[in-house]
Amino acid sequence: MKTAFPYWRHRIAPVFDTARQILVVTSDAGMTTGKTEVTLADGHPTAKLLPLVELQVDSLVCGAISSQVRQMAVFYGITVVPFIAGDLDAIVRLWLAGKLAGDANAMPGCRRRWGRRSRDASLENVAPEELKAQNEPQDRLRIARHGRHSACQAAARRRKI
Amino acid sequence: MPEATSDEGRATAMGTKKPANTTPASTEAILESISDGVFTVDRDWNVASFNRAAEEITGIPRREAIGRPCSEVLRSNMCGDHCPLQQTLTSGRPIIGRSGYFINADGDRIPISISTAVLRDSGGTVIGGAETFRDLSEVEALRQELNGKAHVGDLTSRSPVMQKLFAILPAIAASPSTVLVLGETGTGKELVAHTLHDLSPRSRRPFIAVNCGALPDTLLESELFGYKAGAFTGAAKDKQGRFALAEGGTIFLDEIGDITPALQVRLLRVLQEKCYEPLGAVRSETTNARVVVATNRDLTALVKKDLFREDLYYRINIIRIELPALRHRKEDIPLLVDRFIDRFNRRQQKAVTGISTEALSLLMTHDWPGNIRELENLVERAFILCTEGNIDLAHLPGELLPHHPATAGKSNLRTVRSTVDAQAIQTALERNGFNRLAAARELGIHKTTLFRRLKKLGIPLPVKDGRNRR
Repeated sequence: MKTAFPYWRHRIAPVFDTARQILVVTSDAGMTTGKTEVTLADGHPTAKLLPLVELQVDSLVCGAISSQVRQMAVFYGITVVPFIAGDLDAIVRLWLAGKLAGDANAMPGCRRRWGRRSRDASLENVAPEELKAQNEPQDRLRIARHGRHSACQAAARRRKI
Repeated sequence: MPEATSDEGRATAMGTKKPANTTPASTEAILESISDGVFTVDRDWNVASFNRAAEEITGIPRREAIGRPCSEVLRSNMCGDHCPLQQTLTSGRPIIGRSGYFINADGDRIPISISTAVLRDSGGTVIGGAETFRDLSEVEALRQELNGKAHVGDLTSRSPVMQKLFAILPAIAASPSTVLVLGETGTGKELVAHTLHDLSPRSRRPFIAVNCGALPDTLLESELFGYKAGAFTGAAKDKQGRFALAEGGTIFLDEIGDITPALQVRLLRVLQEKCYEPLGAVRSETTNARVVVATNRDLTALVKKDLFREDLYYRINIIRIELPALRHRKEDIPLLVDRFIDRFNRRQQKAVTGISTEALSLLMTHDWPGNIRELENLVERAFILCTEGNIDLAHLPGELLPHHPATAGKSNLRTVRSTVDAQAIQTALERNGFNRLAAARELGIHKTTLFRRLKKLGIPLPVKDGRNRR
């Protein structure tokens, strides 16, 4: 499977919408079988997804990502694991080992959501291949860490309005 | 402030350098009381202090922000190579009020303005930087409420119908489904198709437009699907079709209601199975181009008359966009005129400043059977006569004054008033089945006044008499 890691100065890029450098890691059973560097052009954030679609990327492990871009990624069958922060190599290692979940790798302000996520299909200790198999397209957005909580909050906001 | 102290201790424990928030207690109290978010960073770009407003705006607790790289806390579109704080620390000059957005934990883009400053110790040595940010969500919401979202891509409108369309256009663009665009000629069907393409992840791939009504059937078939060498006399080498050229992008099929039943069958197969055979080919080719079709004809009526295949109609009628005629969104005329004036000023290097109130009033009375295209052509025509200043009545064609030949050529407010009156009377008569009494009542005038106005404006009495319609 192929996983894309947008990065900046050798850490996961803080914002995918404006990221330029992507490391695409091809893996098989948790072992790296290939790496590709992709440079994205500036432009409309959704256009940044097209090179990932062309490379047949399965998952995107990234920092902050706007919901509009995330939904488009889901449309194109890419599983999004958002709001991840940390050293690029460490994150790649943890991802391949199926140990990426946990507060230590979450961006500030996203930690409490990890606890609530346990009600959703958990990413914790799940190998990337298993995650891919678990995620039906319609569930992909929800399964990404903030899914259910965000959806509830959005619904609450709509009700308020 | 106990919390800040414990956070500082935590930051030190996390291995960061001594924080830059060596501010006296009074300064901290001020920072805590203001409504702008403020944070400071040390020389390693780790957050050293984070005020109450910053917590509220970002939704990030101070204890989680302190000691973390500032780019992972703020998550702004400016973070990275265009970091304003880095520019300030490099140049020594503060940045005031740079606009951007940050992404909160829900994935929402929150508009902010950012200001930056260098932090120095008592000896003048740079110990870090300070960034102030202001939440512009409310300002942005108010601005949008006042202005409406008048532009999406190249589309311009403030009409409620178009606003609803603007709201769903990004979602339609994101979907790979076939789109059917309906609307009278000149309503901007191709522009909508282009905007859908520009907003979609396919925007870097080709947008190919084909006018199906402009080509004979056989030519259209080879144009759409291409042909192989030797397929017919003169086919010396392979030629790619428009579907192949639009690979990964969008193909726009205009005047879809004009294609023949034979071609409808072939098109149905492309839409259903995503494959087609170029003329003379023995193998099928696949396509992943997104299909947007448009027509100004009533497809349901064509289906009933067996002129358009029902199965093809249902296949293209997945997402349907109906564009209103310009006469149903006249509130957009001033906006569109401004846009066309801007465009022609740029193209023709002229300095036309706008349009006079009288001329604009006249445009508002016209029915615009040719819709936006007609309006654009009219502004272009006015540019020939008007090189600077405002477009006036004298720059508009005489046919815009259909009911008042006596005043043709006179450019004054009275002319416009007469035209508006004539238009209102004509509309009222038509709406009331030419019953003059009912029309007068609708206009709020006496029947005698109506007759007097008709005479004064030079409008002949309608041949049809609506008195006996009931």
